[in-house]
Amino acid sequence: MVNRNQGSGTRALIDRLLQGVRPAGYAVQPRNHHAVAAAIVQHRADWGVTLDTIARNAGLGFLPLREERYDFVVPRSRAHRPAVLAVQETADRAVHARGVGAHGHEGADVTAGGIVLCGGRSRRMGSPKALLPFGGETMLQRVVRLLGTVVSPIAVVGAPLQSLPDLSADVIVTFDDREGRGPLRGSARGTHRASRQRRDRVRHELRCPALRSGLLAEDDRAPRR
Amino acid sequence: MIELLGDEDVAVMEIDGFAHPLSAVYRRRTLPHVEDLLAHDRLRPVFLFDLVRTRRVTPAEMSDVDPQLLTLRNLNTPEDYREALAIAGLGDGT
Repeated sequence: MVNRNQGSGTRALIDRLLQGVRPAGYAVQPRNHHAVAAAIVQHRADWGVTLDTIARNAGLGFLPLREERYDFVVPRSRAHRPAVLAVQETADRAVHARGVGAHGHEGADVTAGGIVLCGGRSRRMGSPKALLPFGGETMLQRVVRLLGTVVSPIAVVGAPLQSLPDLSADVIVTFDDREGRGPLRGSARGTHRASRQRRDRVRHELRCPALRSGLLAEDDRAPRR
Repeated sequence: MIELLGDEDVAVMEIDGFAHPLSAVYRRRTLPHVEDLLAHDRLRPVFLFDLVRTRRVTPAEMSDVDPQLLTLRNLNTPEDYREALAIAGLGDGT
C-alpha cells in the first residue's frame, strides 16, 4: 500500500479501516493525494486511498469507500478574488443540482438535525418515560433510533441529573441546568450543543417520530388525542 | 414537515387552533427569538410562533405520511402507554 501523512483526514480514514493492521508500505506516507496516485501509476504500490477525481485523472481504477464533507474556508479579504468566486459558484451549482428532497430523505438529512426532549417529569406515568420498555428497547432508544433514520445529528436533552438509557455514540446528550422551563428552553439547549458539532441545521423536534412510538415530553395544554 | 417549511422559520401542525410545537420544524435563525422569550420568562412555544414567520400545517397536508396523526399522540399515562404498545404491535412491551 501507499499511506498518507499523519494528521490528514485520509490517514484518519485509512487507520479506521485498517483497525491496527499494518500492510507493507504503511510507512510510506506522502503528503498529498497526487503523490498517492503517482505511487500506484509507477507500480510502487498496489493501492492507496485518495479522491475519485485524482484517481480518474491518473487513469486508475477507483473503489468508493465513503463520501466526505469539506469546509471551504477563505479570509474575507480574499472573498472577491476570481478564483474564490469560481469555487463558490461551482459549489452553489452542485448544491442546486442535488436539490433538497431530490433523493427522498437524503436531501433533508443534509440540513436537518433532531432534538428529543426527554426531561418531562412523567408525573402521571408514575415511572420515568424515557426508560419504559418498548419492544426490546426503551422508549427513548426507540425514538432516537427512528428519528435517526430521517435527520442527523440527534441531540437528546434531559432534565438535571436524569438517568438515561444507553444511546449510540453519535447521539449528542445534554442535560438542562434548570428544571421546569419547558420545551423552548430544552430545545434551545439542544440546538446550542448540536450547533457546536454541525452548523447550518434546521432544528427539528419530534414528539413521537416513529408513528408508532411515544411522546416523551409532557404537554398539558395540548388536547388529548 | 421539512418540505412544507419552504422559506419560513417554523413549520408546525395546528389542529382546532392548537399548535403542536414538539413535533415541529424550526430554523436555527429562530434561536435569538427563543433566547429572548426565555429571558423574559415567556416559556410557551406559541409565543415564538407569533414572533417569526410560521407555517401552520393542517392535518390534511400530513395525510399522506400520517393520516391518523399518530405522531401527535400523547403518552403521559399508563393507559396511553398500553395503547401505544398495542398500536406498535408490541403487546406487553418486552
